[in-house]
Amino acid sequence: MTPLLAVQGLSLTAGTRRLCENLHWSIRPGECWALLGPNGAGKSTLLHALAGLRSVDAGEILLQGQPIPQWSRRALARQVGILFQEHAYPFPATVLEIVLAGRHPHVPFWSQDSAEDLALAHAALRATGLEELAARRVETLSGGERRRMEVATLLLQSPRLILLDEPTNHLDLNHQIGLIALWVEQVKTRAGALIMVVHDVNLAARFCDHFLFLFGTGESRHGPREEMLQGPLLTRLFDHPMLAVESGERTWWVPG
Amino acid sequence: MSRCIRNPVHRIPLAGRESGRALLLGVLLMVAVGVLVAALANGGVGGGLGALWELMRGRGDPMFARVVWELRLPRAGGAMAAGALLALSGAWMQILLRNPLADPYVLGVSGGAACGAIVALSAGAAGIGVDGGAWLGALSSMLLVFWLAGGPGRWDGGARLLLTGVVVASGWGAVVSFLLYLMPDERLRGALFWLMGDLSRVGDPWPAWGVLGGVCVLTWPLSRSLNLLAIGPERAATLGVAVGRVRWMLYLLSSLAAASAVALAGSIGFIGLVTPHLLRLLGCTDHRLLLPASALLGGTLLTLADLLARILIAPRQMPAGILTALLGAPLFLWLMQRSRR
Repeated sequence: MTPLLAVQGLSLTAGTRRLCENLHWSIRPGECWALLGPNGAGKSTLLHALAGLRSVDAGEILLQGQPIPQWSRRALARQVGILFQEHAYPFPATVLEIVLAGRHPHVPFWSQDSAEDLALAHAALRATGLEELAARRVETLSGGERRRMEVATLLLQSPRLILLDEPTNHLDLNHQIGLIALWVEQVKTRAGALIMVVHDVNLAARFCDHFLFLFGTGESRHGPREEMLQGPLLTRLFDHPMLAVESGERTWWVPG
Repeated sequence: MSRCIRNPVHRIPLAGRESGRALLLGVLLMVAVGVLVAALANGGVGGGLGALWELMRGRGDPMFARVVWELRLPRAGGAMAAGALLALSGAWMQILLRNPLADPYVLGVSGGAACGAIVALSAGAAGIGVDGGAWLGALSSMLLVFWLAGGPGRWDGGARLLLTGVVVASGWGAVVSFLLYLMPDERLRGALFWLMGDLSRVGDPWPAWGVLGGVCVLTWPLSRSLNLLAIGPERAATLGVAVGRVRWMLYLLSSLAAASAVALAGSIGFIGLVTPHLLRLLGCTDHRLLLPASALLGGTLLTLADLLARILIAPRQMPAGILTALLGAPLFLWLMQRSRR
């Protein structure tokens, strides 16, 4: 199977810090990846590079065989979407207006959004439990509601490759599980792929079948879940002892 | 609508609803026409609506007809165009710099225009010479800022461009002060009036209307992208906006609009900063509505300010720039207080 995304010899630096070096990595349709590493290891930077927001120091990122910089913004936005970690809104806007932005790459340049686009936006608001808040101003929302609004925007954009930067931030437990389950289902039905940055190993183990670790020194390792979730490797990654607790069919990782 | 504004948590802003959009534009258009008619009917030599009505039916006093068609119409038309251009320029610059405090003056455009106009006035030029000087000054300042800031590729959220503009503007301020100091007394008064924003010099407002029409046509297909750019450049990029290209366009359009307005009407503050915010406070947040509404409201505000400047202390007149801030500041503060409650 040809990979959806292929990373060849990628190096990323921030100032003088090496985030990743000579990374070779490919993501096939249907895969869910978790990106783990200590603070400042470059997890968000790597996501931004995959979304085409940042130039790379060496190597290439190919989406469906074509280098990212060769994609037009509109075409790329139909394939790759990202949920940012934090976002500030300097201008007032309604929740519906922000969510409708997700349709932008699908609506032809010369036309305006149609009744169908509006119906899709309302469906995305329903999926995130925000129907009642469609006309609310974004500055009156709580942190969790704002996060769900951003999730709804990305649902409406419905890219094939979904990049999530700490998707559980600000969310209640039921929304954390529910929304990630929604993404994973989308990935499986549409032969897409998902890459998420998370801090919770157990949450990642529940939803992701592949893992990529960034150690913060430029070193990285990746592979299938069973190969990556090993006590010594996790202990080295988090610089803290990690213990496995068996419970029924599942293994839980707890800091020692 | 007043109930909506008072209760910020549960309000459903009028302008956010489909029917509200047409209503808002309709009301603004009616107010604009009303103010335009009032500006034609009133002034130093009198008149009134009755006389204007007679004139429309072709039965007026020929002397009054000359006053209306040759003095009041170009002046009111100039105020309408300059106000609309300033308001559009302000709305664009606020998105470009992602800063709600930005206005056409912050990037040094008006400083350059003032410098060009004062140089022309010192040289004894009048009329078209001063307009041309202002135009050249505004455009050269715009190119200077653009070159110093290194193009939109390097704009980190506009901070570099904003700083460059502010510094260049203060440089122009010093040059203007120096030129005023050197200027002979008989020319000083005209120069000071120019700096306060005086519409009495407006000769031919129609080139400015041409610029207004042109920028409106160019910005319409962009306005959906502007909604996304207002959310943030990174979000806009990942949602399919060619951010670099749109920012170039915004920079060129807003500078061109500001340069035309300043060349026409002199330094008029406040319209560009306040008009988009007034509309945002009224619940107008979609740029497909905000831009045409800003143009209408900005033109109306400046025409109204100029009308009041002509009649308040008649037979004397004052520069409209004095009144834009006198009217705009309390209006803005009042709306902001109401929306916070």
